[in-house]
Amino acid sequence: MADILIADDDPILVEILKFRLEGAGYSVVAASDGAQALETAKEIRPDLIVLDSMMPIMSGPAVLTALKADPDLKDIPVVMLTARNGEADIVAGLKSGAAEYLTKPFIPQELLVRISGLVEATQ
Amino acid sequence: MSFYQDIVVTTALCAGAITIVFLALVLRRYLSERNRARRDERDAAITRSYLQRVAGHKVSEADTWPRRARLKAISRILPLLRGGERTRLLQIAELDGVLRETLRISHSLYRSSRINAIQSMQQFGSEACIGRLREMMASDRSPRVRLEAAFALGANGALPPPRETLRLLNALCRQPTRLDIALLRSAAPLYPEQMLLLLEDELQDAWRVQIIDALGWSDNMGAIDTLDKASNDPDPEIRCAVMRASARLGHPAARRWIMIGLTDPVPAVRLQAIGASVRLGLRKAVPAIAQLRHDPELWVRLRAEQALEQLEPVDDVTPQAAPVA
Amino acid sequence: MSWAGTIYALSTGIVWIAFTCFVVVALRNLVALAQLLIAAWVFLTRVKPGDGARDLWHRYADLALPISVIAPAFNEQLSIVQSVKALLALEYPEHEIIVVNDGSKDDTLGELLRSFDMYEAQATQIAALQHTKILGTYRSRRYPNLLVVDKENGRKADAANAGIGFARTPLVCIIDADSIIEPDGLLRAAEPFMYDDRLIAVGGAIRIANGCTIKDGSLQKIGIAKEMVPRFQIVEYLRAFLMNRVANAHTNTLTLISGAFGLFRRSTLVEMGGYRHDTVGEDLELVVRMHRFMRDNRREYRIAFVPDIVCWTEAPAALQGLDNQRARWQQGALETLQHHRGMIGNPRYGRIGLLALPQIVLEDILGPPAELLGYLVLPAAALLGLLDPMMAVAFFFVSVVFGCVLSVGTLVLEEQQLKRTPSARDLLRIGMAAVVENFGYRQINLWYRLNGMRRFFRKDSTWAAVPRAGFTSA
Repeated sequence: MADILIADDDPILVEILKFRLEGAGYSVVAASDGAQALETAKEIRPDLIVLDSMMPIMSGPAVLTALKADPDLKDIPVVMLTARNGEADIVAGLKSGAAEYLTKPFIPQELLVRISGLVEATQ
Repeated sequence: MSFYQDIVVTTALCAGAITIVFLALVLRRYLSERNRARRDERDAAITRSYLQRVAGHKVSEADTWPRRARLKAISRILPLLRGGERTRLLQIAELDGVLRETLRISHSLYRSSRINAIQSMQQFGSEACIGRLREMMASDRSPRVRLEAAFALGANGALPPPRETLRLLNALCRQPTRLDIALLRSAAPLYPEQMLLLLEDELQDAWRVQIIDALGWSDNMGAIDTLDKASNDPDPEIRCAVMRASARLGHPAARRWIMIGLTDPVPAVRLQAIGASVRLGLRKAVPAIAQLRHDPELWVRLRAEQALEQLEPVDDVTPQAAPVA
Repeated sequence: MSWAGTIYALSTGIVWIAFTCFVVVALRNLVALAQLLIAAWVFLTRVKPGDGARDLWHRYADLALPISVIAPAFNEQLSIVQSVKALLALEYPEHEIIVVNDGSKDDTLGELLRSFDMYEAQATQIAALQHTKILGTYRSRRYPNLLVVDKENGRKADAANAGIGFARTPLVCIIDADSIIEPDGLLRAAEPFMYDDRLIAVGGAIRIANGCTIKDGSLQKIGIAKEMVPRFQIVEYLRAFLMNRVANAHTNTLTLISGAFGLFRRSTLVEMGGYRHDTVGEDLELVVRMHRFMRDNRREYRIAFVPDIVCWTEAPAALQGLDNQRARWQQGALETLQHHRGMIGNPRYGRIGLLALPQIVLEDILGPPAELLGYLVLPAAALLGLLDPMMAVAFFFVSVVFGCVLSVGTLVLEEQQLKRTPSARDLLRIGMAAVVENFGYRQINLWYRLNGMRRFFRKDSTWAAVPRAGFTSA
């Protein structure tokens, strides 16, 4: 069973994703800002991280850069959630090493498909 | 007390009052920030509870959650659900009285609250909501609210027949706006026959133009004869609308008058005809459009050049749907 | 004249000056108070933009008028690529970006050509409004909606005019290359065009980007600058946009759309010949001339304002830099008033002639010297026993304390309606700035404006010789 870390400052969205992912058999930990996400990642070493690009304290791309700089964490696949039309975000995200990105609003099923693909690939 | 003293005292009182209001707002903001963690937790709990209920779990929940918080959670979950789950969530919302709360707000004295309620009802789209929206569209005292209700109905495919819509919005006594056009377009697929009948009414030409335009969105091939007839109309605006509608409808018979439109004496019609040819991928029109590169009108020349790029097969460029400007 | 007679004449003179200063400053603040009340009313009854209309924009994208965003760029080598990427990513059904390289001395053009894979194209200019030579036009292989125009160096007005000439869309949005546009700024600003076909121009609220976190040409996090000067300007911008513009737009007397972001009907701009090249206040001049043009031609028109934030802009971080900016604004206002002096008080121009322009006269010509003079003359007159000392106190209250009321009042509007201040603590900080601003900063600003007036009178004869180009009459 894979551990997934979700970092997003929107509690409702986090809860929806958590519900779906737990329903699909993953165990989920949530963080509400970038700094907390980074700390949690170091602590539990999740199998996958879902990062929102716009977060208080540390933005998604900043967390991503920090993750990639850490030799222990750099192999964890990251799915980046970006706002509508955030093309600049996507470009920056892929350049700094996000495995996938999803543009909000999305259907949770979409995320589930991407996640299961990534988790299978790494295991 | 002298006049100047009055000024000093009045100004000082104003300054005092506004400072107090401001500090109160700062305090409100401070409290809401301090309670943020608790509020987030509550929102998450509400969300979880609804998701579990949608999934069919029995949930014993505290009924202390305010309706507004429930409403907020539901309107966030709703767009993320499809099919049966969506219907179930709406039923649960109805049971919890969240819907009732929205309906209550829709009677508010404040126009902006009523419009907020309209937006929630648009999202829910349940029968009770549609009913209330129709009521608001018919009888709200603010024209803006009636218009918003009309949008919400349009988005749910539940507009009243076009003649009724136009009457309720007092539309026919003024010039059509872009919003009226959007409403007509969303009414067209629901009431294709009535749209055709409407054209037989006494109408300003500006409205006739927009109704013809909307026929393009009706998915009703029965409109093609009307378009055929209107393609010879003396009013160039109408001929323009025919070109737009024909391009949208995509009936093969329209090719004939689109080709004629390319040589229309009025530049605007030629422009629309070029657009229609691109939209339909009308290769047959290429020679005629190539001619238009030497048109006396600059806009036609520019559009023709662009159209040729889009129509002629270029290796890696896929022809885009042209904007019907 | 006897000694006593001289003294008497002098003291009467002083008393008159004191009274005039008092009346001008009081009048100016009464106008502002009226604006604050109108703005409060507008905000109270306003319908906040919702998803309903947005849904419609997406379904019938062709009803949204296509927009060309025109970004004049001069020596922007370091930031231009990020800025353009952010512009390309704006949320709008159909928009084109026209970057005008205004003869940059650095490698702005090269950066663009390399980063966006551009090739030389033969774009047709529909109307040549610029005075300088176009050197070339470039299109991108990757982004079909990007056009770069390379031209000889001119002023911003000239670069914007060149861009307007290449636009084919019904609307053009003129920005500064370093403006950071809100992701849905175009959508918000274009919304009024959906409701009213008579609209020819729309302005939107602009905020100060100092202290905000900006990455890749887009705003990541709203913040408040540490220095006081930008904080004072936050208050000033709030006053200008939330109070002044909202009220003016409501009463149909809007005369200024900022050069940092303005949405215009292209055909009107082209007919008018675009911006004037011979003024430093081209944005004010354009809108005033627009009123004149439409009224001279007896056309029905509207100019609107959206109080939602459309764009963020970097403000001078210190007094040095601010002095120049303010002097330039002042000079621009005076130049515009001089060009269009025939409109002032002229009933032919309706409320623009009778209300809007006299308001600028009061605010920009009479106001600054009257207030500065008042600070000196009133206390002096009171000390000499020529005036009721209470009048000097009242002057202080009318100018400074009332200034605080207006600033804090606008801040109340902001917090009640837009809530774009990051936290309670920052709100309090701006609140303090709103008060402190009136003791020192406000007076320094008045001084800068007097400098602008000086510049205006000095340059008076130099620009008079410039031909009145760009001024087409229909």
